[in-house]
Amino acid sequence: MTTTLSQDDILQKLRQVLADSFRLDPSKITRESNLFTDLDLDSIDAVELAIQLQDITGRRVKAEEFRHVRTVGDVVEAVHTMLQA
Amino acid sequence: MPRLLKILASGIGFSSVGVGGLLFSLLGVPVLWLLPGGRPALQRRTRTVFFRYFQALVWFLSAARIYDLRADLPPRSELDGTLILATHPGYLDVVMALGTIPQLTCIVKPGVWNNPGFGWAVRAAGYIPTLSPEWVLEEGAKALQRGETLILFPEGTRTEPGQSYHFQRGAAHLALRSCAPVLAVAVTCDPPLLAKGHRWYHMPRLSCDYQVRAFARLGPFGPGATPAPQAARDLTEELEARFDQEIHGSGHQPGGDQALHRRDP
Repeated sequence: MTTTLSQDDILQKLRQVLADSFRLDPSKITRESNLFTDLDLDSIDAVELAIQLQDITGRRVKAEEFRHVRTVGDVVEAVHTMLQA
Repeated sequence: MPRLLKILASGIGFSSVGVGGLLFSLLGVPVLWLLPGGRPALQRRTRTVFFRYFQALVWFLSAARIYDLRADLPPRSELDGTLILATHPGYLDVVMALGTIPQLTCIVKPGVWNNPGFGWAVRAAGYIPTLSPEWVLEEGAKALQRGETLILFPEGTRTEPGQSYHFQRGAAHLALRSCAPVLAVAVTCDPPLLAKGHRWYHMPRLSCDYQVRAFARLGPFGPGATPAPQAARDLTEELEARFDQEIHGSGHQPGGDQALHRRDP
């Protein structure tokens, strides 16, 4: 059901989640934004983000699927991969 | 006291932590471990030993005129279940805290937790290792709910004096998750002593004015309607402002009187 989401759709949803959860300005959130240096997320926020992403992926996001995530683009690709699987 | 003697005293102090910790790990912990009462008793007894040791160390360094300590904290009986948030100008802040507040819960780096010398003593004391942020929040909240007194340095590391405070959000997260009352403690040291980048032999010529002063009771904050990440951001900003106001004076507030303005505790 969710496999129809394109990377752009995922990016849109992710921007919404980031803006709502972490009080960020959506216009500042690009694919290149680094979650930790540019958007000032910390490791606790990363856990929260993983929880929020369950709404998009429809299943639990495991820590190892998220380990190499640094930028917004990385998250989009990780979510995209999860939806393909 | 000539500087050379201070350096000698500092060297004795530093090596006593290493040697004492190793000896206690090898000889003391096994004995305490054999005493009845299980894990809670082992923790309590180990912490009592730590308190006595650090109390003596605080006295020794003070007698060597390395600093004049002025501690102004509420009685221990009023601190059960309290989250103490303190500024962290120097290495000795931990020593001061452990030597001033009995049965204190600390958060320790993995390097301390896994230290081959005194790691066993640290584990017996039941401190909380920073294995992961979630782990610290979980274990920290549990310890506070059990009625332990936990100290946290919200800056996360030793910081330069005089700059406005930048806190990690972990302290706010812990305050929100545990619903514990918070005691705000201003730790200041002038001139800086064993600050970031200093080595054990870097001793100022003058005796340092070391102050450990509780200035506000805050909270309990508890989880409200606001989602945790936002609530933690708000509370972190609030805490930074309170500490800045207290320690750096009213300079951030236009019209405030530097000499007279003092926020009520």
